[in-house]
Amino acid sequence: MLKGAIIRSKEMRKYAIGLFGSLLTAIIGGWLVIAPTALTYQPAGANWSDSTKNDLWVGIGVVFVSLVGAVAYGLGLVGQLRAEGVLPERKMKAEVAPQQSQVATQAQSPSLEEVLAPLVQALIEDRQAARTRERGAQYDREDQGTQTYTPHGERGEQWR
Amino acid sequence: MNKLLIAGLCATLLVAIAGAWTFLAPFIIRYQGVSQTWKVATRNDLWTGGGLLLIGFAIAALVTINSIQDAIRLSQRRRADLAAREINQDSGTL
Repeated sequence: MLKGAIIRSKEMRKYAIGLFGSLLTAIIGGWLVIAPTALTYQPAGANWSDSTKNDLWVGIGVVFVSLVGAVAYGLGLVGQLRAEGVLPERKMKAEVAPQQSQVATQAQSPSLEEVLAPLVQALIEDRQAARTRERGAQYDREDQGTQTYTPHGERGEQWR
Repeated sequence: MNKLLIAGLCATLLVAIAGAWTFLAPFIIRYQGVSQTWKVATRNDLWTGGGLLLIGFAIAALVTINSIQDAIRLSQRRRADLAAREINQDSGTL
């Protein structure tokens, strides 16, 4: 385990060195920018001397390049830490986006089942009512064709 | 060596070059005469430029050396994996 940790730290070392070195050079670049004023070899209100102009522009350039380098080393370090499992894996946008859109559509519009449920219920009720009506009509036909009523109220059956 | 490391290394080398320029600028731009006593600006540029040059090259050297060591370690690991696989295959055939 210790050996693994040492190997990991060795693989990250180059990024760490680069990152701290770049930050150090950025600070030195910042010093170059403020040096003419800080060391007072550029009097206030006077025209800028060649040394002042040179220090200012070189200092700005050093700060910018150092920060670019620091970002590059920092991203490399983060990538290495992710590869080693020290930092959690970042989810890809392509994986997250469809899930989110699916959730959004589910939240915005009702599902197909919810839309069709009343229709299906109405269809079933209609069908049941139709069956009931058919049965009633059938019984009526059977009654008319097979049963006769006597005037005295006696009920008799007659076969066709 | 990945792209981020190459970008960082290029930035570091650029800083080292800027340091070299800052070191030599007083004599190239000639705001410091050769026979004159050194001005404050000249002394500042020499120390700052020298520092940038030294730090830039030191970082570049360390990053390069570490990258080469990592590459060697990786190749050794791959070789060891290959050898282990061959041994496994041989024992499987026997």
